[in-house]
Amino acid sequence: MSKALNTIVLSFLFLTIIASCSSNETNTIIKLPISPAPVDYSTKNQLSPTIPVPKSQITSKSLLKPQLPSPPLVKIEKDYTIVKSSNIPDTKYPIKITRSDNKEIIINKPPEKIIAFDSAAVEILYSINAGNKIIGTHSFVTYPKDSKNITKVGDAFNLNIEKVLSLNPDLFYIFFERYINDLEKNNIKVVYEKTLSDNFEAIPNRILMWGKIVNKNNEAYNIANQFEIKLFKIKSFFKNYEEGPTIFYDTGSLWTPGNNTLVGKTFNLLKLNNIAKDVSGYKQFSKEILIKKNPQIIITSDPDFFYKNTEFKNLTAIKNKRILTLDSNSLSIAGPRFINGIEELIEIVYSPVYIDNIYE
Amino acid sequence: MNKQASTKIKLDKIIYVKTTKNKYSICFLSLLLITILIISIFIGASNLSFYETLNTLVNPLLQWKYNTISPQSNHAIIFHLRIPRSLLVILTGIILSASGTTFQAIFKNPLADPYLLGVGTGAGTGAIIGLTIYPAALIFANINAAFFAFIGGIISVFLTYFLSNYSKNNNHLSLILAGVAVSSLFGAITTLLLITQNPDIKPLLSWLLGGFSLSSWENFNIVLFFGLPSLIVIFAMSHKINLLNLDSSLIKNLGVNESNSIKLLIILSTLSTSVAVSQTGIIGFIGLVAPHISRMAWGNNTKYLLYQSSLVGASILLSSDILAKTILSPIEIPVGLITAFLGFPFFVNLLRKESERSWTIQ
Repeated sequence: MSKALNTIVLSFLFLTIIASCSSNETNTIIKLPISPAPVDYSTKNQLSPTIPVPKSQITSKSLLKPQLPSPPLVKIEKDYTIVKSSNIPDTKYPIKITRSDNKEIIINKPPEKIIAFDSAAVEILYSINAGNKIIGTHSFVTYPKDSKNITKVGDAFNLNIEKVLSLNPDLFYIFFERYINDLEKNNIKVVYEKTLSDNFEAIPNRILMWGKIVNKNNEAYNIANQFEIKLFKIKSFFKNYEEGPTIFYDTGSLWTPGNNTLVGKTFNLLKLNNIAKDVSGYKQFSKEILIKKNPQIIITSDPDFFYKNTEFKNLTAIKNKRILTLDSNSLSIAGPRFINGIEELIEIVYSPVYIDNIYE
Repeated sequence: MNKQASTKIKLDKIIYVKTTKNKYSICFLSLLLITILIISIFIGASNLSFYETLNTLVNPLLQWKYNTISPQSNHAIIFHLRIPRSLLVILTGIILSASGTTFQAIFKNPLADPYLLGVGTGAGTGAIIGLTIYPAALIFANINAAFFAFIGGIISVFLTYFLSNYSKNNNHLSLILAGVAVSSLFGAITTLLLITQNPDIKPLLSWLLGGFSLSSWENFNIVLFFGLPSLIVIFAMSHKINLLNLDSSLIKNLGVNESNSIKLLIILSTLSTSVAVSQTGIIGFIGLVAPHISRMAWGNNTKYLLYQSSLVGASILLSSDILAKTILSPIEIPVGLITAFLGFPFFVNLLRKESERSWTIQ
């Protein structure tokens, strides 16, 4: 009996010890901090900090006005009062013009028959009301519409000299050197100015030069002044910004302009970060580097190329639907329309509201 | 009679001696191709490190085990750019060398090559017609280009064929001369189209030189869809191609309808070549170099030569593509330039050997 009792007591003791031990054990367990829920970074959009408002959503301008930095306190260095048309005297012929190859050419009387072998020159002449003096150009000129009727004397790099001679021009304007000797042998006055491939700030000077040549000084001053004022205002507005979104500009099959092009310089002006900065001139960009650099904005004439291809589907620009198109080709021609091209770029990349803020 | 007897002895020598060697060589070439494929996946314009690439490659397999995160950009670069590009290069290499081998057998001419016969240029002209008539934004633009390329290729190859038959003393060089004439004709048409149709010719120019820098799964799928069936039929007909190598009188005695199989083979090789050309541009000399390397190494049994030359051609083209990616990085040079540099010495060597005829069966 006692033996049985003994065993029961012992077993009870044993059990209590075990129980206590086990309970002790539960007490001493260190509670590990709950690990945070796994975040799948891959599904998160890499949103840019400054996503501009898309054009279509704007209901009222005052509501969506972006918080702008304090207005520019930069002093205006030049006095940009528009000179009245009557203030400028007529050109006194003969005039001297220094060409890009450092030769001087003398123009004795206002030319009436001009062959402008350059898109920009055609646009400038039309803008200063001298379009009726153009009798010939090349076949890639498409703007303005009136230029369609002008006789074509070649495509952009090939010139038909016989046709030029048959038109008998007073003045021939060309943007490359190759045909100068042949033309001068045939007693044609050639003005040769290199095309402005990377410097849009010289456009007003070109306009003034043409004004002087065809004796349309007043019109030329007005156009050039407008250009410079707009450019100056855009410049001083963007001075206050540090860096905008990254951008890629596609001209077809991933050919893209580098830093030393008109488009590249425009990106610098608007503080846009061109991912093809290292490219010189126009080059075909590699798909791999495009994906690696992951631009926030892509400008192209063919958005389907980017939306359709599966390899681009994770690009930030595609996710945010920031594949933009420019309506006009103004950014490719260094003429008076170039400033409109810059404005259009600001509108689609940032917001139309910016334009109002720039010019207020 | 005497001639036939001597042919038979040579056949014995060339065809039946080297069969065991052939099987090993196919294994070796496959391994070589796989090695180059792996290397090509690890090399590209963006500087992904070895570990990053490996991680991206292996990650989809091991995702259930380790939750390592590789950036999506890497995933897109490997799986949507490098892999389809390398596969397209391999497929193009196979197509070009297989049709090169076939053309050489059909025309009984060691200098025949899709490029030299004018198929490349003809297909290029066709593709440009397709691309300029229908703008690139259309969904079926690529298929459209492939279709027009095939028409251009067929026209040019039959034109070459009839021109070479037109000359009375039909020798090896008359075919090449006809090919040169047809190529230059179609080249002129292409230039005319480029001048008149499209002022923005930069993309078309880089396409004309041949390159893979813009290739994606879409291009690969099109080449696979149209090219693979004709490739399979060509490979299935390899024994017949072997017979076509022989003298016409001998073929008749063996009971083969020569002209029918020749026509079928020409159409099939032209179809696959044109589709490849429409998606990758004109890449010359692969169809000439690959069969000759394999022939010099392993003999002229077309049954095996088709496989060997395909593998050799794919390896050469893939290595050339790696070179094109790396030599002037970050700028890519068209792969057609590299194959032309490789092909030139071969072509000269062949012209020299042509006078000796030491290795042809005739």
